[in-house]
This record gives sequence, C-alpha cells and structure tokens, in this order.
Amino acid sequence: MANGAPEQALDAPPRERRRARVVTYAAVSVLLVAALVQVDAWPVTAYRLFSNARTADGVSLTLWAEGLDGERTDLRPPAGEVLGMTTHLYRQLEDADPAHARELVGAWLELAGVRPGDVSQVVLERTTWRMDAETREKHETGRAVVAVVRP
Amino acid sequence: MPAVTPPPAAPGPLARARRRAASLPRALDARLVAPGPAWRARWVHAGVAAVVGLRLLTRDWAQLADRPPELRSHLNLVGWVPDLPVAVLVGLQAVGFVAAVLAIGRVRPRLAFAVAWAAYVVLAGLWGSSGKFMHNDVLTVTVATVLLFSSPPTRDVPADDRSLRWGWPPRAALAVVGVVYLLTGVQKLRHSGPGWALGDNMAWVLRQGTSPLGEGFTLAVANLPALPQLLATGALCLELLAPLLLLVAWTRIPFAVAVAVMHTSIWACLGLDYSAWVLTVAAVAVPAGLPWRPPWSRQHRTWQHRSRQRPGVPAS
Repeated sequence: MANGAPEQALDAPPRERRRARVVTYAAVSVLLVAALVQVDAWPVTAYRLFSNARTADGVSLTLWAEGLDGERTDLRPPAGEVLGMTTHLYRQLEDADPAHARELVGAWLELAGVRPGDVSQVVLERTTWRMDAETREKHETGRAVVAVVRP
Repeated sequence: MPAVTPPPAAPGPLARARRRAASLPRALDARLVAPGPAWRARWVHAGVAAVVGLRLLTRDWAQLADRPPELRSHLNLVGWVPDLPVAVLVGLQAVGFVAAVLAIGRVRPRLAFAVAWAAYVVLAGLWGSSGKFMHNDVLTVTVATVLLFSSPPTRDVPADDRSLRWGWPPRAALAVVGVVYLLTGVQKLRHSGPGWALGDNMAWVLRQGTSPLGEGFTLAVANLPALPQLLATGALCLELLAPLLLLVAWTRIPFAVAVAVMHTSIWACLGLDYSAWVLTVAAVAVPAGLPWRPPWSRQHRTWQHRSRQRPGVPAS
C-alpha cells in the first residue's frame, strides 16, 4: 500500500519480512474472527457500533430502594463513564445468586449514600416505552418487576 | 497451404476481473513487504504515540478508584488487573504520558512506546470495565498493538532512507484501520440490513440521543426530511469503503477528513466522544497519504548514517 508501485524488498532480511506478515495477518485475523463469532472482550470486539436499528420503542431498567418508611429512592449512580456505566450491570440481578445480588445492591446503595439497614428491599424494574417523534416524550407501555433483593 | 492456427482469443472482461481478483492477495502482500521511507514510519509511530499520550493526559483516571469492586466487570483482557488505588492510577498515567513524550522525541522510541502502550491499555481497560463495552479507545489500542512489534527509525536514520523495516508498519496500521471501519459497517448490515441506512433508524437514534448542543438541535436534524437517511447512508458507505479508500494513496487524507466529519457529527448529535478514533486515523492515514516528505520533516544526523554505511569515510 505504498505510494506508487511496490518495490522488491531485496534489502530486507527474511526475519523482517516474516515479522511484517505475522503481525499484520494476525491482527487482521483477530479482528475478523472476533467480528464473526461476536466476541466482546476488551479490546477485542465485534465492532457492533449502533448496529441494531432503533425504533420508537425502547426499554429502560430502574433500580430503586424502598426505605423502612416506604419511601422510594432511585439508586441510579452518578453520571459518567465509570460509575454511570455500572447501570449496564443491573441485568445481572436477574440471574445472580442471592449472595452476589446482595453484594451488587450493597455497592449501588453505597454509591447512592443509602445505608442498607434503612432499606427493606431493592427492586429492579423493567419499563417499556414508546417515544413521541415530535416531543421526544416517552410514553410508558409496560412495567414489570424483574428482581427483588433484600439487602 | 499449411494450416494456420488462429491466435488465442483475448480474455473477456469477466475473465480479466477474475484473474485480477485471484492475484489481489499476492499484490497486497507484495505491497505490505515493499520498502518505505523512514519519515513515514517515524510520523505514524510518533502520531500514534501522541494520541496515546493525549488520552492518558486528558482523562481523570483517579475516578476508577471510586468504583466499588463489586461493580467491575472482569470479562475482558485486563480482567486480571487488580483494582488500583489513586496513587497507582496517577503514577501509571504519569509514567505512560512521559513514555509517550519520549517516544515522540525518539528517545529509546521502541521501549518508550511499549511503556506508554502498557499504561494506556491497563487504564483504558479498567475504564471500560463498568458493564458496558467502551469502544472509544479500541482503535488506538489495536493500531498501537501492531506498531508495538515494529522498530521505529532512530534519530540517526535519514528521513529518506527506504527499507522494508520502515515500510510495513504504516501499511499494517492502514490495514487495521481499514478492517475496523469495514467491520463496523458490515455489522450494521448483518444485524439490521439496508434499513439501517434507508429506514427511520437514524432519526430514532438522533431523537433518543443527548446532544451537547441542546435538545433542539438533534430534534431538528432528526425531523428534517431525508437528512437522517443521508447521514446514515454516508456513514455506512464510508465504513464499507474504508479498505479501498486506504488502499489508494490519494484517498487516504480525504478518508481521514471524512472520518473527522462523521465522528464530529456523532459528537454534535449524540455527545459521544470518538476523538481518539479521529486522531488515530489522522496519525496513520495522513502521513501515508502524503506523496512526498514534508519539508519540515528534518533530516537527522545524515552525515553520521552515511559515514557508517561507507567505512573509511571520515565522519567530519
């Protein structure tokens, strides 16, 4: 891919030529295989960036704590790429064993500044919605409790 | 009269195309291992080192210490790295940044690049371990991984020196960038089909995104007739054509400009920061797209190199 016609690499030691091929073809092969088998183990990835077509319909998960007095507290962590993205672990609560679920919930309670002793239960809810194209308002179309954890 | 054998018929266009396609892998391989100028390898190496250094410098890596260990995903290649305290995170950032500067300045460039790469991989890997796969740094990491195996020209190599040693690293980096962009396009077609670009998909992406320029901007773009489809089609075409655009020397710089436009529009509409991708593409495609050495790319100690090539010639 040089500018102009390729020249013969007569001056190159065979080892350098071998290294060029091994490194380049290995890197390209890893990229292709990861995309083919849908691997996502950072930094190896299938490169599925916005690959699912969006529609007006969407799904949100909400984690909230119910206090001993019945008051609800949203446990959404602070925004940002480190703490904010931990909301993507919410879905682990669906399948987690009770001990692991309590650990996860304890961590989100800590981030929200809520003492586990003040909470009767933590609830994960799935909400389905449809967005209005003009106002961007989300109209709820369904709601279901996905998991309940007692810390 | 003796019988005259008719000359063989000229191959048709289909046969010619088939023959050309069959010889493509060999032609690409010949290009990969062709010699290249030292200045180009130096620029690509220094450019990627600069992107790594910039990423290390401009992020508050200490935030990682605020994440409870329970909320870290270990399903990645840095899953074995323990949770690090603030002092170690900042120390890694400082060591990695200094190493990137040394790599740019060509002070033990190979070692310095490796140190910067290691610090960047650990920190960026930890950053993306909160449950969502973060793509922001993967292109830079992948390109830098390829360059890790190359020997960048040291200060005493003349800028115009040509060798396979300087030729393959920029081409390997181009190949990686081309394949990555191609895959992002192929995955869209694979999972959503042409409707990804031609349907309402982009309009809904825009409506559901959060723009740093305000809600009105995104909504206006989303509701303009045909504009979302044009944006999506342009992005998809750019991704699918990336290997071709990077194969041809004179389309490499326009490709880097188009990538910058695409990712800037993504930032403007959705607030997603893909600046590392823009800078990495520029670091690779711009030097590889320049037809000749830029005048400000200095010759370094040429006399020393020449005298070493011709023993007996005094180095004065």
